[in-house]
Amino acid sequence: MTPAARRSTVVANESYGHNHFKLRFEWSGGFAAGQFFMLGELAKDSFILPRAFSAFRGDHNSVEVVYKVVGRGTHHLAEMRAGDDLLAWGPLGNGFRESTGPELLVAGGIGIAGLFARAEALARSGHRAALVFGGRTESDLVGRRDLDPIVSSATYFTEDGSFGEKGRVTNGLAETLKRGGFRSLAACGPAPMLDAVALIARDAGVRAQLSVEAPMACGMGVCLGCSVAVDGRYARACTEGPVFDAAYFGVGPR
Amino acid sequence: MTTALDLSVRVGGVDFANPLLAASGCFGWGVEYSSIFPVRALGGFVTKGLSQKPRPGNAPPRIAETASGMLNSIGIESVGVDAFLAEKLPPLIGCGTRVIVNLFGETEDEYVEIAHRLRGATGIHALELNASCPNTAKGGLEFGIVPDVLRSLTRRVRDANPLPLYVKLTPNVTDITASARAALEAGADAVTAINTLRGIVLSAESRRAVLSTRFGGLSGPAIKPIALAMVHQIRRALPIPIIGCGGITSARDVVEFILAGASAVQIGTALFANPLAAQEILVELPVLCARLGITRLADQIGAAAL
Repeated sequence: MTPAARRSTVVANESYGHNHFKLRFEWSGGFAAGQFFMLGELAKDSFILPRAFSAFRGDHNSVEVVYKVVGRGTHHLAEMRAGDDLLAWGPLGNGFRESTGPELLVAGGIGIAGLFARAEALARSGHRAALVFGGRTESDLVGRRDLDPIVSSATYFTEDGSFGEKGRVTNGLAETLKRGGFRSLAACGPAPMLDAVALIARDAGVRAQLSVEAPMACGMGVCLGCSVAVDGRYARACTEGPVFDAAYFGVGPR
Repeated sequence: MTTALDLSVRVGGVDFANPLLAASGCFGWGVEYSSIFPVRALGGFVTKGLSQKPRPGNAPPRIAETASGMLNSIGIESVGVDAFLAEKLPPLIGCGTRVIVNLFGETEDEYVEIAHRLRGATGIHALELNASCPNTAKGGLEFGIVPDVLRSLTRRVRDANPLPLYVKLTPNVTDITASARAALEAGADAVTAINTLRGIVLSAESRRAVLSTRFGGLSGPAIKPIALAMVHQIRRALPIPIIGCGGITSARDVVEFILAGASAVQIGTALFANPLAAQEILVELPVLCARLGITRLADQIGAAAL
């Protein structure tokens, strides 16, 4: 699927939990689970770099992204209304590879946006994944109502104990992997979480796919700004990722 | 009746169908944007900086957003001249636009070696000498800040390859006309002005620079007035064609640079912000020219009453 760039239109931009929004824009052509879109010109009267958003859900005519308002870009995005112009390009990146056997999804905070399409694709294929989803507090665990029906089980963690189990997604993860007979794992969340998950998966002999986030300017593989250390070199998160095999992740040049 | 508009320009012996080129480091190896817009729409493009041997580039983080621009410190991550000739250049033969190869070296000999290796290669229309990258421990900028050093490097590259030679200048100097003069005296056919300005993005929380290398190069609309001033200074001082570069995002910006003295322009950061920017500028440019009474763009080079 080669990327296209279009001047699209916002279909809806609705609250999706505290400080989170779900934005739907017109888009034909679809995407694969784990791919993302760049949304640009979010500040209408001044220069702004585009922002990358995981493709959350889509149909024949539109794509949805879920985002948390954290900075300048998402602040502007949250002000968009149905009918507004929206510059979008995608679908970008490699997406998740096929897995064999039961899969565990591990999400940290807004990282759930990078895994939702994976959960949906697995459910559609009849192999529903199990989910472990953690955040600092209850309001970080967005989309539970949409997630519960498409996963085989969901375990929630909050660091403050306000919802689910108190702690982090890595608590008991090794045991969960062993007990559940999981053959593969897909994770998306903050970098320290991905590092920890990668180690646990490696020890358990479970193949893990990590969806990473990196500062990114173009999304097209040319600016080389989103490089991450993978397999003894720097790889571009935008075109060689954003999904990387945990076995090779974190190893830079020399 | 409409008058035919002539957007063609000639820069240092190369004819361009229009004045809009993509800048080095902002258009990869010329194929990455092919599903977004046809490369032949551009007047030309400049490749990512080409080194003699493959280079891994700097550790992340490499970019940071700033007010009206961005800071980058990529550090010339590049494939090396062997892979360029074997893999990157062949798809560009017959691509329908002008291909300019940007050369980067850590030593004078490296630049000369790359220029020599590219001698006679099909599909290259000009060379651009990168003596202005602020993000490498060695090479790049250190060749661009002392005019005598730049003169020597330019002369040796000039002798190593007969293709038209453009020298990309750094704004991180006291007097950019001294650099342009050195390039001119050493036989450069044109200068590209300007590369990025050195800057720092600092985090108050971490008390550290955001980029791994502390310093980076500032680009984007923030530097446009500086670039325009330097194009004007060079134009007034010297008889050398100028390719204007720095913060161009619109057809209006293109016309401003040409009026200030540029024969052609490069866009870079604007392509990151909007991959349709080049295409949209080329739609907008004829409309703007008509409104401004311009029928032949080349007649407007340096025509501002500055």
